[in-house]
Amino acid sequence: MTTLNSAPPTTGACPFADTVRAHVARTVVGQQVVVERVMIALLTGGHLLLEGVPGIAKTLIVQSVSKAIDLKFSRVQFTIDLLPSDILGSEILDQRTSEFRIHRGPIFTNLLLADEVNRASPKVQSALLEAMQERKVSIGATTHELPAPFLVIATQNPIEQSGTFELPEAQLDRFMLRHRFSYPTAQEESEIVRRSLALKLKRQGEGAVPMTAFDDIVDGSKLHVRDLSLAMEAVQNVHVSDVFLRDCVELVHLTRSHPDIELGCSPRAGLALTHASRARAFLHGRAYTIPEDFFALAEDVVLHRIRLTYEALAMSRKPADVLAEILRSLA
Amino acid sequence: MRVRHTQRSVLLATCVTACLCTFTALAVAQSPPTHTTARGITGTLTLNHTGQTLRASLDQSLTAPLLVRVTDLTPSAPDTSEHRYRIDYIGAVAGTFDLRTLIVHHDGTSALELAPLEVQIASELPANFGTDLFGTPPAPNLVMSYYRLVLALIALLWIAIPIVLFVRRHLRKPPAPEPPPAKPSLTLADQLRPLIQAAMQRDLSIEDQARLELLLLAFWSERRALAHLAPALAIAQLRTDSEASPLLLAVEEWLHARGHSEPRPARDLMKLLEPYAAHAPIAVAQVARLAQAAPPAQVAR
Repeated sequence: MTTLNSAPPTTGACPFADTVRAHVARTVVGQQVVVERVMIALLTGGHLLLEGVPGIAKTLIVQSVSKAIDLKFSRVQFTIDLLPSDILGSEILDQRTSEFRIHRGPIFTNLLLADEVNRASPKVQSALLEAMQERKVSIGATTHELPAPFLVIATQNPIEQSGTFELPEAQLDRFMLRHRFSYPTAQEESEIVRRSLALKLKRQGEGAVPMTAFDDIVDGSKLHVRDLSLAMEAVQNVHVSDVFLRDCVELVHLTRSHPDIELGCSPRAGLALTHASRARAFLHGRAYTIPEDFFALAEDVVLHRIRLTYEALAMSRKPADVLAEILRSLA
Repeated sequence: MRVRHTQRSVLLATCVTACLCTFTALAVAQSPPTHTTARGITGTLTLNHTGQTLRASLDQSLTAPLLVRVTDLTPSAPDTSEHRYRIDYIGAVAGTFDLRTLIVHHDGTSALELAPLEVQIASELPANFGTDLFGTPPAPNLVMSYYRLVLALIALLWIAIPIVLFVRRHLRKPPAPEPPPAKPSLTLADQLRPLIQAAMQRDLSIEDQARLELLLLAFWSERRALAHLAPALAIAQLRTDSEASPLLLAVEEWLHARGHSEPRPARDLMKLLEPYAAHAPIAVAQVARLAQAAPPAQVAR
């Protein structure tokens, strides 16, 4: 778990962000940084990898955000026996017409939650990541465009590694951000329990089941896809200065020359850091990026893109420590 | 007459030769053959014997002057009772020894009825040097005589030399710090003024603008003891700090906002630098590097 590496969002600075935050806050307690990361991913079209232990509202946050902006949402639980066609779709022979028809998989959505992505076989991971990159899916002889916006939020459990297929660096690189969840504070956890106690029963005919937080997600959203598109346009107008660009490029270059790093960042890291910083600046109501954006996002952009040397690992060095050292050396 | 004389001479010569040969043969037969072997080296002697089988005496001591053993026993020829014995011996003391004393019949009875089996154990050491292996005086070579002491000295040096080098290296005085390029009487505000001016007017390179901004952030982060926080959190706090934020936000705007900001009047700059007037100069080397990058006319006070 990492520390909170981002300043609390500024209320009133960005109406779009305030609306989403308010909607998510009805069901999710805390985790404002994660909500911000999801919004950054949505605004920049980058994909997001979330890491955290089970039970810290990963799915709930993503579903709440999708409801807040009226996005289509699908969730796929990745398992070892999952096939690429289970995600992408397949051609099915319609016995009434004796013709093949296309059955679209859950990837045809705006927001796809790939739960425990490292549990699926590399073949499935590869199919998903290819679709993420190209935003197109080939089923049979036909290529289908994925809906816009399209965003994959994948989750990984960092604890249970048995029976998993670790994503290789080349595929991790396709995720713009990797964010590690932190546990809620004691105060937040009290509020979570209090809200859970307030949930009532859900009647189904004569039977009833206790409601969960998912049942509590409010459907009526004030935002729509066009609002998201407008916000994305606004992000495009956020100014990135030459000084800021220098900081981003310098950071990426330093990861390539650091003696403790075997594999440094690819050019995608510089792109991701710049684009994500622009979205963060927009969410904080600024028309230009500043070093705070750079430092807030550096960890999420860089850490999954570097691999330490054997010697550094033997010395018990951690990627976060090496990154902190690089950031200090920037000044 | 002449022929008779010649025959007599030949006969005489033949008789003399025969006598000499017989005498020599007798002499050789009477004196037993002596085998000579160096001390500590195994010598071998072959003996043909008919009769009861021979063997080495069983009660030989390892510290005895001579050790004997019968190493091989083969028939001398087919259809004969004669056997050929191969006897190995090794002497520890120089001298002449009769192997019969250490050879017995198979039933353990003495074999002294055999012809003498004398062997000579020779020593290459000078006369009167002594032939006892264990009583040998130490060799004149000092290294070989005191090898334990030599080895101990080498081991001591092996340990001591690195320790001495290590201690010397750590006791060596650190190099004298470079004299500060800035005058000690300067305040932080004096240091920053030309740099800020240069940044405002875009006279600093992109690299130096970035360094100046990060330097200011690092200064305030240290001044406010925010180093334990994540950098983003520290910056967020500094942006709301009443003392730090005016200049930080101004520099932020000059460096990052779209388009060129209008140069601020000098009085504004003086006001921005007021909080820095009370502070001593910082990060001398870094500021000096930036100051070198700024145009000389503006660096001068």
